[in-house]
Amino acid sequence: MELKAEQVLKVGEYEFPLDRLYYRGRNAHIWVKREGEAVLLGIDAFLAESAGYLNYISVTAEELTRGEAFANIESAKFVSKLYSPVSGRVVEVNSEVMENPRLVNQSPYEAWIVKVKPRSEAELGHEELLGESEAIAAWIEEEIARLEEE
Amino acid sequence: MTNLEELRNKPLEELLSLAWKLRKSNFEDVLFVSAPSAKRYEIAGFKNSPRSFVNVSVTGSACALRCEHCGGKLLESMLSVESEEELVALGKRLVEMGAEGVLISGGATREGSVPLRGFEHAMAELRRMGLRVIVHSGLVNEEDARSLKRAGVEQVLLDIIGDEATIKEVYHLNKTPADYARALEHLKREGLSIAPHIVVGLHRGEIRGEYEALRMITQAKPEAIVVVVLSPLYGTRFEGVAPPPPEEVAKLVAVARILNPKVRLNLGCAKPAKDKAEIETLAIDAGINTVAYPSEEALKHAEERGLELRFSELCCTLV
Repeated sequence: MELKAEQVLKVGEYEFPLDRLYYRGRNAHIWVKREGEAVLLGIDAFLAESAGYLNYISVTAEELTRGEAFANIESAKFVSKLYSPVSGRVVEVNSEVMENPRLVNQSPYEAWIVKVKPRSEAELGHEELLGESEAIAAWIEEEIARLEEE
Repeated sequence: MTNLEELRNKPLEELLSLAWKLRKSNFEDVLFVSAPSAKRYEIAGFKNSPRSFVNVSVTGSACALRCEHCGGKLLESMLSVESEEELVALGKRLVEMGAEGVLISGGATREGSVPLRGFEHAMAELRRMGLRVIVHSGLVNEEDARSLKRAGVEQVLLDIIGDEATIKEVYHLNKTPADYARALEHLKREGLSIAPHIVVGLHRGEIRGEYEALRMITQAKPEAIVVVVLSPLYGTRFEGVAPPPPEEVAKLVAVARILNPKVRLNLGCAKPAKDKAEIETLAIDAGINTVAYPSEEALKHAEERGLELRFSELCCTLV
């Protein structure tokens, strides 16, 4: 569903739809979107852009622990891991994205990586999950400054 | 020299077994992990820095050859300098930021060389600043080799191609394997340390001139040998080409180890992402000393085989 302009936060050149949460823990840049009793996890526009075209994603865990790695990614500029914003169980892996990781660069907010059943509702309420525009903007501005410094 | 053709026809298991024994008897039980700044690498508790060892292009994104597998794409992520003054200024900034060294590279001329001669004085200045300086030279003649020697570069890296059709069709270059052999000779004659590269599967994923390249390299007695693997890049003519099977890569690495039992053997940066873990794991079994940006699976495998991991932010040939 197309979001209205006011439902999308723009920070620098990056867009952040406000229909989901953003995990700032471990500078993970993972978005979390509710889908029924489960949540979808994906990579935000900041990470998708700064990593460059992804060549590879592999999901490495079935049981997720908040703050722990759940996938490996590789691009021309990155060899790194993705860190989970929630504890819970993976109920589905997006095979289309596994097959063609560039979908993440093309549409970061549609190309989800895993669907997860969180261990409890509290998993979606911790302070490192950001949903308010001001908090997301402040964090991303810090991240842009860090990137420019590098 | 052990007969290369004979080795090539042996089963992979036999080659791996022999290669591993040679590794064990000639080197300490260490796998070196190389993670220079060209990629952000964060794995197994190690994180590299974005300015420790950087790649610099002396031609920006320009390249006269536009090889089929690259099309200039590899230049895009490098820092660009257009003059000696710019290179010296960059060197100063890098020193201030605590960098250890630079890989000076660039696009090729119509003759297949990287135009480094115009940067001789700047490279010498970088060395005086305390930076480690290695170069991608492409094909060199005698004067190019002398210039690199005068600049005091620490090591020269160049792809060696053993098949004329690959040179013409993939590199768009009117040269022969003999020209590559001569380049190695010129560099060795100047006493330069060389780290020739073999690109496995360079001919649209096929194995063509790789073993001839290995023969030429072995004869040149290099300081290190680097094996890289065709990684079809998005937006190039090779996008969609199937990379060579991991077993073929392992076979070449094992034969390289057997023919060069005491030479540092490295698996370099370029590897197709999907097969990366399998290639690295097999290369470890084939006696590789250093792997660039290895996967977690490879690190685990190395430890299971009794190798201690040592991480470095230098290019793999300097580790």
